[in-house]
Amino acid sequence: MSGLGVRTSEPRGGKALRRYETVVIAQANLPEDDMTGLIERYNSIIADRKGTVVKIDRWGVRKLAYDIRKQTRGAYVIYDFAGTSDVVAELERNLKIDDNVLKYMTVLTDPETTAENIMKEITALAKKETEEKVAASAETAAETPAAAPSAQTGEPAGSSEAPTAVEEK
Amino acid sequence: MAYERRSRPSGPRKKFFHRRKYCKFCSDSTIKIDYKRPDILHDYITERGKIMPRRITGSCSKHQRELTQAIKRARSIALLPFVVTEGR
Repeated sequence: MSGLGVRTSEPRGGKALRRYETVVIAQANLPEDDMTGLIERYNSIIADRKGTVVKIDRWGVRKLAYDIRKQTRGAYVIYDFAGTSDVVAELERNLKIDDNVLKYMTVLTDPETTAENIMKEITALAKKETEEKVAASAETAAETPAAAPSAQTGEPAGSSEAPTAVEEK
Repeated sequence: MAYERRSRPSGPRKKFFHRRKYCKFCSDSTIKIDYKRPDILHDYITERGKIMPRRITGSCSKHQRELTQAIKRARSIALLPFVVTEGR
């Protein structure tokens, strides 16, 4: 193996750990099982290439602003993950082949991040989720105003990823 | 005659009242410009789907740049239209 050969096989972004967001628009008429299977498949593709999935956001079926492949509706899934650029290359290659995927887009949200930051975020997310579950169960058990503030704090962080990117720096 | 003409109000200065424009994102830092939020971006495109110029919306150059980026991304994933045709 020559030095040149090694160089060409190296991903364009180098070995830098980067944070990406991929929006996938799948066919709206897919059965529930196929949909979860599809989501799981791309999750494993990211994991296989040593990427870490921070969050998978399912928006469900939405009306499209314009027709894609004669479809007026599409199911949106957003992957928030970290990895090197070859993860993205592999993911997009697979998305391109898949007939159930109408369109996709990958956005670089953070060009430099560390594994520690991502682990921290994952644990924070998991913690918040359990807290939300507790709050939800408390709400159903007894309709007290105590559950309301916890729901409020959870809402802004869940609706947008941008604040988390700021915290990393 | 000449004197009368001079006494007329000069120019259409007081015809319009302009409300002071301001950048919504500068005054309220809690709103984040995100391509995943078409509800916010909708205020910055015309009925035809064009991006509104800064001189109309009053946003600052920094946020206008971010808006442009976000609108273009949102268009790419069918959250916002590229064009809105009349007959639809």
